[in-house]
Amino acid sequence: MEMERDILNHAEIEREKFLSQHKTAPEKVIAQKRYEAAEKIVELTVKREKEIYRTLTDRIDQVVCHRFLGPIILLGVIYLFYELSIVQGYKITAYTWPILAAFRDFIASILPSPGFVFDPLLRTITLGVVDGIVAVLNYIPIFIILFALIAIMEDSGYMARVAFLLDRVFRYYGLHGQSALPMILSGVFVGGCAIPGVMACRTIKDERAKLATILICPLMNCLAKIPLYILLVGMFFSAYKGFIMFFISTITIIIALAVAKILSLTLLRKTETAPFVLEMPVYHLPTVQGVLRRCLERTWLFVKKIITIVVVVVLIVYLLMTFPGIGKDRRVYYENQTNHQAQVFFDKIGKDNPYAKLLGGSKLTEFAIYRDDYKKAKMGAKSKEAKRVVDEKFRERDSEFFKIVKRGKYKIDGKMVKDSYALKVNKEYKKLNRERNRIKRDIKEETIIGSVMGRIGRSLEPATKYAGFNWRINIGLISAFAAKENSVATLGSIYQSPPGEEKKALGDRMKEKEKDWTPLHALAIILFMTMYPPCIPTLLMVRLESGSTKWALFATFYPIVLGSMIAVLVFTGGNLLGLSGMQAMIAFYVLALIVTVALGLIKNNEMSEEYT
Amino acid sequence: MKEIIVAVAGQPNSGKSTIFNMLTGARQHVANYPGVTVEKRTGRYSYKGDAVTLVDLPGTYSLTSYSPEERIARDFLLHEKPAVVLDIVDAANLERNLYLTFQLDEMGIPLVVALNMMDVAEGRGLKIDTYKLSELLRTVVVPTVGKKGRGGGELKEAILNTYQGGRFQTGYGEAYKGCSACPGMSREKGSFRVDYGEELEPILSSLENRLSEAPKISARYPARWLAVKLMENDSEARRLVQKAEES
Amino acid sequence: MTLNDVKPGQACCIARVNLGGATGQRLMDMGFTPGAKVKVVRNAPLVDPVDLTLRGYHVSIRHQEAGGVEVEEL
Repeated sequence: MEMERDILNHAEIEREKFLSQHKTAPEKVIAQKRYEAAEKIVELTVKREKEIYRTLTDRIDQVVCHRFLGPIILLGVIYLFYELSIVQGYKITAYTWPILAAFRDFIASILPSPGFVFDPLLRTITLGVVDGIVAVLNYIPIFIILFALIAIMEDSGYMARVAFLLDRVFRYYGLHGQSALPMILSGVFVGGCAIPGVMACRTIKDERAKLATILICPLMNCLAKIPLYILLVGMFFSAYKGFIMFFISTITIIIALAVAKILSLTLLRKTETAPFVLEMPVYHLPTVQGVLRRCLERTWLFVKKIITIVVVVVLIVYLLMTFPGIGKDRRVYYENQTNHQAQVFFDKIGKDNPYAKLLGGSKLTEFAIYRDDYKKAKMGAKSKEAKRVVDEKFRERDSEFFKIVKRGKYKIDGKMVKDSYALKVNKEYKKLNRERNRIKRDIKEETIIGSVMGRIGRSLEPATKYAGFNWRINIGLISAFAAKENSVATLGSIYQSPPGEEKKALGDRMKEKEKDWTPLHALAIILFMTMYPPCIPTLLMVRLESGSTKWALFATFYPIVLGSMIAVLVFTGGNLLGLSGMQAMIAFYVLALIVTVALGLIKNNEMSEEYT
Repeated sequence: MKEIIVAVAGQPNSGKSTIFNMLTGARQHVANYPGVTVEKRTGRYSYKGDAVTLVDLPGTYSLTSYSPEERIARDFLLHEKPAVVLDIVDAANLERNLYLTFQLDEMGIPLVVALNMMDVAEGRGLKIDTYKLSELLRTVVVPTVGKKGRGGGELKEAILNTYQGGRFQTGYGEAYKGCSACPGMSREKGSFRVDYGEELEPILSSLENRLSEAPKISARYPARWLAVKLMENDSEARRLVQKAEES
Repeated sequence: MTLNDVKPGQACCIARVNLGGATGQRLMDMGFTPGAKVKVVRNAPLVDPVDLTLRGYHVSIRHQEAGGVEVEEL
C-alpha cells in the first residue's frame, strides 16, 4: 500500500520538477518524441515515387468547401436526402402497405366477428394494437432508405465536410456541425421524422452536443404533426396558408436552437465536451456491401425493439381511451335505438317481402357484415376483371345476400332478372345502415368522452383554458401521444356531424360546435403541437442513444411544459393585447427570434482550457 | 479447439470495419459496451482448427483517458486480456497512425499490424517497404486492401503465428538486433520502444523499476506503459494504481 | 505568431502548443507537435473552423484553438 502511494507521489514530484526545469509538461515531450520516432520510421520505409500536388479529394473539396458553392451544394444534398427518403420512400410504402393491410385483415378475420353496432372486446383491443404496430411498420421503407443514405454520407467522407461548413452556427447553440444531419432528418422546413434523426446522433462524438441534439430533434417538423396543422390552418388561416406553414416550419428551428442553448447552459453544463479537431478524410466510394450491412442491421435492430414497446404502449393508450366504457343502461339505450331502427326497416320492406324472413334475427347482422365486406372488396378491385372476381366470390359466399347487394339485378341461368323485392330491401337497408353508422359514432364519442383519457381531458380544462384548450381538444391532444396522426381521428370522433349532415368536413364541424373560437385558439393548438413530446418509437431511440431512461423521461416532459407555456403565452397574451391570429403569430415569431439570437451571443463555457 | 480473442484497434478512417468484415463475414454480433452507448461489435472465424473471436474496439487516434471511446479501448486491452491485438494502419497516413501503434505496443500485448489501403497509398505515389517497417517495429506487418478483400488469409496466418509466440522473423531469418541509424528506436529487451529523450528516459526507468517492484501492480499492468502514462498525467492510470493498492 | 496569423495557402512550422488539458492533448495526438509543418488550406465559409494539412492529411480546428498554437515561418 505504501508503495503505490509512494509511486504516485514520486510521479507527481518528477512531473513538477520536469515542468519547472524544462518549461514544458512531460506529456508534450512524450507526444513529440512519439512523432519523432514515427517520422524517422516513415523516412526509412516510405518513398515518394511521384509528386502528387492535387489529389482528387483536394479538387472535390475546392468545390464542396467553397465559400459560396459549398453551402449551395449542401442545400442540394439536403434536398436530395428528402426527395429520396421521404418522397420516394412514401411511394414505396404504397407497395408495402397492401402487405401490412392484408396482415391486418387476416387478423381481423380470425378474431370474433363484429356485431351490428357493438363489437366484441377482444376484437377491438386486438385490432387497435395491430393497427398501431402496422402504422409504425409502414415507415420501414423510409427508414431503410434513410439509413442507407446516412451510411453513404459517413463512409464517403462527406459528413466531415458538413460539420466543417456548419460548425460555426451550431457552436453558438451548444451544438456541433454534425448535429446538422439529425436535425435535417427530424424535419427542417418540411415533414421529417425524429426516429432516424435521433439515431443519426450516434456519430456525434461530443457528449454534450450529442445529448442536446437528441433532446431537440423531437421539436422539429415531424411528418405526423402535419394532418393536425392542415386541419387547423384550414379552419382559420386558409387565406394565409403559405405564410403560416412557413411560420410553423421555421419557428421550430428557432425554438430548437434556443432550447439547445439553454440545455447546454444548465442541465448539460457538466457534460463532457470534446475538442473540435476534426479529420477530413480522403473521399472514397462506399462499398455496397458495407452500406447494406449497416442499414439493414440498424433497421432490424429498430424493428426488434419497436415491436415490444409499441405493443405495450398502444395497448395502454387504447385501454385508456376505451375504459370504462359506456355503462349498462347506456348500452341498453343504444340497443333500443338499434332495434327501433331495425323495426322501421322491416316495416318499410313489408311483411310479404320474401327477404324479410331471410333477414330475421341474427341474420341481419350477418348481412351487415356481408355488405361491408362486399363494399370494401369492390373498392379494392380496380379492373373490370377484378370486379368480376369479387362478384363471383360473394355470390358463392351467400347467394341470397348477393341478390340484395346487386340491387336485384342478377343472372339466373344466364338470363338477367329484375328482382323488385331485392331492390326495395337494398334501398331501405341503405337508410338503416346510415342510422347504424350514426349510432356507432355516437357510441364511440360517448366511449371516448367517458374514458379515463376523456376524464383526464375534462379535469385538465380549468388549467388548459388559459391556452384556449377545451376538454375536447385536451382529449385530442392526449390521444396524440401514441401516434400524432391519431389526434385528427380522435377529434373526428368527438366532433360528430349533426344528424343529417354526415358529409360535413371535420373543420366545419368543429367550427360549428365551437362558435366562439378565434384564430388565437387554433394558433395556440398549433404551437402546442409543434412542441409535442416525441412519439413512442422516438422515445425508444432517445433511450437507446442517450443510454439512460432519465433522459427519455425528460424528453417526454419538458416539451409538455414548454408547449404549455408557449400556448398560454400566445393565447392569454394575445387576448389581453387584443391581437388577431396573424398579429399574435408575428409577435411571437419576432419574440422567439430575439430570444434565440440573444441566447446565441452568450458564451459557452467550453473553452476554459488553461493556456499553459 | 482453442478460442483466441483478438482485439481489433485502429484510428478512424483506417478501414477497420472493412477488415473486420473481411475476416468475419456474416458472423457478427452487435451490442453496446456495458453502461455506454458505444457499439461493441464481435465476430468470429475459424482458421486451422482454432476459433478466433474478434472484438472491434472503438476507433481512436490515441489511448488517453480523455474520451469515452479511448477509455473503453484501453479498458478492454488492460482487463479483458486479448491474446493478440490487430492494429489497422492506414498506409497513406502512416506517420499519424504509428502514434497509436506505439501506444498499443507499449501495452505489452502481441501486436499484428495490418497495413491497409495499400491501393490508396500507391495511388498517391507512395511506395512502402513493409519488410523494413516490420523490422523497425519488430512486429508482423501484413499489407492489405480491405476494400478488395486482399490480405485476409495472410492476416489470419499472422494472427495465429503471433498467438503461438512465433519468433519474429525478418526477411533475413533472424530477430532484429538493432539499427544504429535509428535514434528513435532502442534495442532494449528485444522489443521495440520509443525513445522519449534523455531528459525523460531516466525518470521513466526509475518509475518503471518501482512499479515492477510493487507486486500488485506489476502483476496486472505493464510497467513501462504505466510509467509513461503516469508521466503523461493520465488520471485513469493514477486511478488504476490506487485501485491496485486497495485490492 | 500563432496559426491564426497564417493566411490560406501559406505554410509554417509549429514552435509550441500552448494549450493544456483535453484540447492540448488532442491537438498533439493529431500531430500538432513542435517541428511539424502545417499548411493553412482554407477557412470555412463562415470563417470558422479552418482547414489545415499536416503530416499528409487534412484536419480542421477552430480559430480559438488555432490561437493556442505558436508557429514560426518556414
